[in-house]
Amino acid sequence: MDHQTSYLKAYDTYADAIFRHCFFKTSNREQAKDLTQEVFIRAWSYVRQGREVANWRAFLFRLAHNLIIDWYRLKKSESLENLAAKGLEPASSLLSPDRQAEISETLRTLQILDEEERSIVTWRYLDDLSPGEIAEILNQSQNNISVKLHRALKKLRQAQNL
Amino acid sequence: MKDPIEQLFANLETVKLEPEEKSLLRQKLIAEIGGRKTFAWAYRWAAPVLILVMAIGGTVSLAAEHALPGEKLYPIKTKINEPVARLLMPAQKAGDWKENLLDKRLVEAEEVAKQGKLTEPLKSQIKDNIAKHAEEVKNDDKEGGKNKKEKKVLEKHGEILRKLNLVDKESKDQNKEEIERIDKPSRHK
Repeated sequence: MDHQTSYLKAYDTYADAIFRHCFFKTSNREQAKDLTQEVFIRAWSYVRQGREVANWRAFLFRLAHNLIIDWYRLKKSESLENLAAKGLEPASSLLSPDRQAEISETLRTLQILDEEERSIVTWRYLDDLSPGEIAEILNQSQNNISVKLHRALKKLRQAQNL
Repeated sequence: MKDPIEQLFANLETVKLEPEEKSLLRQKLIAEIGGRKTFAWAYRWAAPVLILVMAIGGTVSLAAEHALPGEKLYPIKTKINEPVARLLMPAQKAGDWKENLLDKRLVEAEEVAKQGKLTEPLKSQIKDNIAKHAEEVKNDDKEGGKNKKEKKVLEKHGEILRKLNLVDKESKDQNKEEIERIDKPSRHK
């Protein structure tokens, strides 16, 4: 498979997940779209130099993670922490009000976690990344991620009486 | 039964790009890929191609330096190498350089004659070339040394024509007359 084909296949497979990740981090739909586009532009810049991507999903999330860090630094915009009180911008005009409310409720629940814990839990349970892949994205050891994941789940279970 | 944590995240999966947005973004990326791909190609090949062109150009140019009239590389020598060398030369050295060029033409003509390759069209070409260079040296000369240099050039011109047996009676006489014309005023001084 040539670079362009594997790249476009990665887009078709992971664009929604990357957009969702960016949306939860920025709470702004347009911003999330711009960041998603930038993630894929950077991904192309990488592969066009002839470099191989062994794990597209982890690679794209890592790019997204780094871009979001830059975006926080530049824009100093509201992060998810500030959304609990104000509510989240509608995730999509295609979703019903009930579904929007459920989404907002889940995100509000996740506010008991810190930023990193929230990312780890979301990657693990929403995007189905392994602790090894999350470790790769955050440039930490897999053991460290497993400990943080365990701690975050414990917090969530206590909060929800699960 | 589904893990409660998994259930918690299940509704977040519905957050995604709308189909039109996803398609539009895909088109933008394809356009981006096309543009960058072209640039990447140019960027990747520009330097090697430039080096190759310079290497081939340099080799041909160097080989042409030894070319004789009638050979394939000779036009490169006279129409590219020499004009380029002239352009790169300081103005004050141009006169001497042109005179040297005339010597060079003499050596070339002798060499061609030695090799027995002096055909009629080639004779005519050499004759034209030499006449052209002789004219350039005469025109280019500074006022002060004009007569002296002009005489030298005409003598050289005549020498070449004689050596190559290129001269006909008419041009031999014409050359002789010109030399005498130059000599006359200097004897009166």
